[in-house]
Amino acid sequence: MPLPLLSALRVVAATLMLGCFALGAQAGLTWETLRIAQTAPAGATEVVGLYRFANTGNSPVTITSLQPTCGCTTATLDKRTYAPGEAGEIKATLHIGNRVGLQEKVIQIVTDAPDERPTTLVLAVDIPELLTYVPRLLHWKKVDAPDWKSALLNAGTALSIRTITLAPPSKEVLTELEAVEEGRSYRLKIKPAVAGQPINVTVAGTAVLADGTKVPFSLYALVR
Amino acid sequence: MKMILPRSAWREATALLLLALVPALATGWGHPLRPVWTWARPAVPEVALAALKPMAATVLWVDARPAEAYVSGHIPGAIALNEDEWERLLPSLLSVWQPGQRIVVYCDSSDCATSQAVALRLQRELQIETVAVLRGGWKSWQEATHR
Amino acid sequence: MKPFLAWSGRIVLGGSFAVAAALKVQDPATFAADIDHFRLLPYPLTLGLALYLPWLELFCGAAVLVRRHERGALLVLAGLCAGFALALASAWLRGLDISCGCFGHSAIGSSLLPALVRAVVLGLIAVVLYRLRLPLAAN
Repeated sequence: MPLPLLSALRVVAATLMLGCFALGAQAGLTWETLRIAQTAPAGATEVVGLYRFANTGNSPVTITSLQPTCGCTTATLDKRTYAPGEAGEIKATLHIGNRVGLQEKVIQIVTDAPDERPTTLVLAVDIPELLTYVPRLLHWKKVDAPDWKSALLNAGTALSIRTITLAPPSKEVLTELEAVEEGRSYRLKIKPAVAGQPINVTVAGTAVLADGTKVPFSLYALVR
Repeated sequence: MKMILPRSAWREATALLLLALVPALATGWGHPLRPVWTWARPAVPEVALAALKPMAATVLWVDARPAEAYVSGHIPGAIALNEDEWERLLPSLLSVWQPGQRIVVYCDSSDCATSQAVALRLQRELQIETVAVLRGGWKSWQEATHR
Repeated sequence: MKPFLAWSGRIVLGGSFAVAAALKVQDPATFAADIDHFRLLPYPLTLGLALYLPWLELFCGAAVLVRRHERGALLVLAGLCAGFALALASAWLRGLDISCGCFGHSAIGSSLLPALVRAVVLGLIAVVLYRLRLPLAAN
């Protein structure tokens, strides 16, 4: 490689390294973790994650924006401005509602630290589905014969099903419940009572798990 | 063959093929509307409002936004369904949905993931296959109707 | 007559690709979804093409219009037209609805035939223009 080009490359490399040092020296907030993963306790209505941080820079840092990307998540702070060396924490709360399964909620943090890109905090919560349905909706066309169709009700976690009972069904459908694997899997069979009539019925019931937790469930039968 | 595809033509083609790589990489790095990188295809397809025009009369709109947003304005005929109140709202959807009817779920804009979550749950729980998510969400509807 | 036809062909071919590419460059995410409707490629490759193809078409369209690197551009455009026509034919055989692609199979095939005809016509224009340039290329 020609010498002038080599010299030029050395200058560029040195500039880049100095630039990185300069950026490092100005760094604002340092986070203990950017991702918190939890499993929601059964019956919980909300799950909280605490994101601790410290100002490791040379100047005060103000958190100018704290934005969850889901309305189901709230994020709060005690104060906005942190002096060099000062620590703080962001409390992120996921309101569970009727959510199930793995929920990954994001909170975007923006500060006034120079050259600092927005920080993304992730709250990953596994909400156990105590009972699963396969499927939850059974439908027939009006012209179809009103044959039996079935859905499987399965224990969603290690907790087995102690009892499972159906609420008195609507007169528009007939129902049968049988165990496929006692404590783990049950088949709910449904058929329209009368052929050709449109129906929209909710078949409800309650499963009691091994630890006494009552899990209400509902499936839907449609004839359209 | 050399006369039909002379080396100079290949050189020109190669130069163009390589030249296009530069802005392509820049687009992937910094374009505001660049596609989100994932290894797997999104489970629920996204559809633009314009593509729905031929079938607009038959689509069932589902509003995945919080209740306050739905009340303050929604696509005409849209049913509210969100994960905060899934159990309470689901029967309303089933009371109007016709088996086989296409469902399009929307939330605020392209940045919210709520519509994907609701659409995936409809696919998983109810095994409804004809579900898609509206690209650009409620914002794109407002832009189209205020034009 | 021949120079006029060649000039018209360049305007149509170069202009079509340049204008279409300029639109696609503005919204790569939508273009990625459009490519994915064909269900032909692995998703990561679809994303790569969505970033790359519009720029390739733009440069080749411009090259045809300004008559620089024209033969190379015509080769690339002919190849792109052939590829697109094959993808459309494949979608047609599988009964895919490429206008939306959102609901899988559909009886709507109306968007496929005009697109296929367009691809074939533009491809033929590219081949003819390339052939016209050959005597110069042989020099």
